[in-house]
Amino acid sequence: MTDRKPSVFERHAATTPKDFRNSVALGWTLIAWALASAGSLTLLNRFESLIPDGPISWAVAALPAVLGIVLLFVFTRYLRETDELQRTLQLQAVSIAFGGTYFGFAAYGSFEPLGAPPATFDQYFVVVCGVYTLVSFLNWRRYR
Amino acid sequence: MKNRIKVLRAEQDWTQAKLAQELGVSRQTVNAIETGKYDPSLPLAFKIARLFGQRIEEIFVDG
Repeated sequence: MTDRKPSVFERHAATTPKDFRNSVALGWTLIAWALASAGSLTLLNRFESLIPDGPISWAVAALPAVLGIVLLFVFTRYLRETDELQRTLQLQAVSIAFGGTYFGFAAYGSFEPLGAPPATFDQYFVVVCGVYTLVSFLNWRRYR
Repeated sequence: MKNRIKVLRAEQDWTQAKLAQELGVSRQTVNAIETGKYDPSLPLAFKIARLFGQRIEEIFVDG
């Protein structure tokens, strides 16, 4: 049994160092994916003339999808290697965020024929992020 | 499910962080188990039992 003094991180941030490394990797991948998505859409919609037709424009369009696949792998690794409580809480937050928002938007769709403005995928994504953040915050408060 | 982890930890004079380090989990997990907010998986329960040199049913009590 080791008698190593817990690091400042272990004492205060309440996750293992491996969790921390995976969380950091997940965070950076998420940022890269978000920037690539926003950048790709902006380039293709607003600066179309700057991008030559052909392979380059296809590469710009495909970049978010490629990073999205990388993000899935990084998130899966994070879930596999994190401790069991964190895994449960993350899965709960993700399922409530995607599932809850989907049902919310499906319910909202019933009001669109009555004149409500149509919901877009961008709005769905923003709400998913908001719900995920809210559930994560509530879980953090409950289990800190 | 109730458990005696807090008492066993105190007998060893360990902090939650120290116990978490020994078990390879986060301090949040140890805290959640001690306060009864979370029931550990069977592998983690065995790990806890081995660490304290007791049987699972001596540490975890149903109810």
